[in-house]
Amino acid sequence: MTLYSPVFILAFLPTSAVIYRTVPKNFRPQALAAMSLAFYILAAGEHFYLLPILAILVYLLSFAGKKGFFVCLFMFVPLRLFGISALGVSFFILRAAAYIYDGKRERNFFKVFAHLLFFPCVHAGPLASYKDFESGLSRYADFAQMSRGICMALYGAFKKLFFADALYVTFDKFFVGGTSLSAFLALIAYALYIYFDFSGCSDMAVGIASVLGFDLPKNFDFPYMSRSVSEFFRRWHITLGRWLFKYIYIPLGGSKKGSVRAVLSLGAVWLASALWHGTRLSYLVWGMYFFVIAIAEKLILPKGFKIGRLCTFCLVLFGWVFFFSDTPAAAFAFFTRLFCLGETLLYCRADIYNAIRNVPFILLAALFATPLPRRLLNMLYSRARVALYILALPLFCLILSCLVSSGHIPFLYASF
Amino acid sequence: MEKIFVKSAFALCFILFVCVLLCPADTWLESENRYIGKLELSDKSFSDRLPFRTSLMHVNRDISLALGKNEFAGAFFGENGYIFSNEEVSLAVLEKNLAFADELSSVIETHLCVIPSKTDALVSYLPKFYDSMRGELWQVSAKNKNNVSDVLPIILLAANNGKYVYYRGDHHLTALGSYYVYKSLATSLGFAAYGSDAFSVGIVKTNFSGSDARKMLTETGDKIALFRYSGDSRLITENLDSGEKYDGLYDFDKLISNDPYGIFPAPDCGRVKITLGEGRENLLLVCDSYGDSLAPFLARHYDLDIIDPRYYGGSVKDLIKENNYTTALLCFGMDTLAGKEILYKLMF
Repeated sequence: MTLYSPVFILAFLPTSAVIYRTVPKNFRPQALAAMSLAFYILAAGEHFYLLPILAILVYLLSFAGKKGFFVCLFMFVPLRLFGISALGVSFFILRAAAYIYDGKRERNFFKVFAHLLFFPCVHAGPLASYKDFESGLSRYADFAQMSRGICMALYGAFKKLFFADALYVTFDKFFVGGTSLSAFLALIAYALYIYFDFSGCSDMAVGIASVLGFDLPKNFDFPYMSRSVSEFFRRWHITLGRWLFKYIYIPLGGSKKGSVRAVLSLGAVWLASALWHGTRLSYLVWGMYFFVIAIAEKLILPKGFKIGRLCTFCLVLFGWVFFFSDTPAAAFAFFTRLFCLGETLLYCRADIYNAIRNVPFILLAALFATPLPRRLLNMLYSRARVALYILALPLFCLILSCLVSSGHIPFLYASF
Repeated sequence: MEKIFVKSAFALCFILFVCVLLCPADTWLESENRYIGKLELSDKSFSDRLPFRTSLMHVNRDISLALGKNEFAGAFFGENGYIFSNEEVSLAVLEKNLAFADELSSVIETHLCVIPSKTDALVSYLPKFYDSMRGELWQVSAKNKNNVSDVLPIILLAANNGKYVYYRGDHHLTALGSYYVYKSLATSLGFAAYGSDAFSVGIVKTNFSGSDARKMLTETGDKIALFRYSGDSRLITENLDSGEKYDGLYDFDKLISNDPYGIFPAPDCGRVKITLGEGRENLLLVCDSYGDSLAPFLARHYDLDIIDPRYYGGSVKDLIKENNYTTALLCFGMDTLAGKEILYKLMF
């Protein structure tokens, strides 16, 4: 079960929302913990027991003070080394470490358990602090918040099911081609796929949490509109960026202890980010690549200077090559293809066919990666709310039509 | 207003959930050619049971087509009303299957007949710029050690002349297409093929929706024709999987079933025998579903033992020994031969 599963949409979510609203305030943490546990068991498959057990450990560790922070992070190491991949474990560890570091020694176990396994966020965040979570526990969602949440969740599901899944198929189609044009189109499709997959999941999580009365931080702010790579990562996976800043960059000295310390802190941030994604060497190269660019932007370029949208987009695109390649060698082979080096053909007949069939969809997806549709929705929300609510019905039908029509690609970030 | 919206959204989910719960297990899914089965706590089971499922799929298909994709559920539109399927083929798989075919030739005289799939043969009906890039597959299959019957040229020629050799909405050869394969097999197998005037052709189904048409949620108005000959009703067809036995070659009841192509002998089953009981020569026909419509032609010359390795659980080698078969014909579509590793089963 995932956030876009018919089982979740038709049965789990409405039932949970009704139960959560009807239980007395004192029992809400217990109710939420039970729902989150049920969701996790249904969603996680083979290793369903792992995170619930770790959540108990984290609860106990939180009483050991900040030492628990490192213990918590090191729990991650054996999981990574032995290749044990439980659903959402990467996000869980960050949530748990932040909870311990913040020093909140909550005595109510169910509150901690519900926070760590909060079902809307268990797949792929966003990473909300315990403080945000706790404030959500103390209030009911009013109908305005619930309706906003429903619209947000629908829009997130639309991004995931209509765009991301189809873009992955498009990426796959171009990726197997051997030409430069197919590599270029594969890269564009991947950049859009990963954005729609992850931001769609985040939107769904924020929307669903909103239905229950929780305000979660947004995770994406149209990152492909960024004018520098540093700005890109302030707009991409925002909550991870904030986590790394708060729990790694600042404790290591940040930029307040000279340039060398700042560079080292930034290096640690990128190393942590790469290792968090996985132990593949290509992730390390990915982290190093962006570390070098971030250093260049910070130290070499004049302060306030922006390299521009196109240049940023290209640099980010090249970064994705390391991200989706299994090894650095595979990444460099892809670059050879992309830049038409060696015996690579510029294009072939099959590319023309695939381009004709897929470029209109890629362009539509690119349009939806800009703020324009969001601005339109915001305008509708403020000026013609009824129209927005009416629009939700065809959007829901479209989501259902995607659900019944084809197989779906699991959330990419749920596998980290 | 928000209250109405939220309550309506929850009510809609609740109604859909009730519909899912009440949907009977024997509901037939036309596009997938299957029943939905028992309700389970799985996404597939829930999405199968959603009300207006087919209409929702139509919406999705129409949007895909409107965006210029020309593709839906693994099928795509070609010219002249033909629908093609995306076929996942690889040279490595083909080579493995052919290697097993070679090994079989050490046990029995083996003939190989690779049937071109629609993508191979109906090149002029493929969408503009479509490139199946399958020339290499044909070069490799032609080099096989066995007696290879090269049916590609005759099918290509017939298709280019506008002959109805493939169904528009199904991947199989029509009876006419199979007739051309039968003709080209004559030299290799050493029988004298009958001319087309030795058959009476009759249409038995006029609105046949094949697998490609069903994937695309459309109808192509295909017709199933049979090439009958005098005496074909004296043959006895025996399905050794189900124990079913009937006179003649065709199971006409299948015409009103969900799979009318099943009228031909050996549909989706492991072993079928077609015999006349007059001491004719035996032929072991190892084939996929392309062989189903070819079998009636071959049954005019041989008693047939038809094995489909996808479903047959027994040992082919034992079968050859037990029945003293001297000749085997391997007849597979290129989409099967280069798409699935199945011929290793011949070695057991």
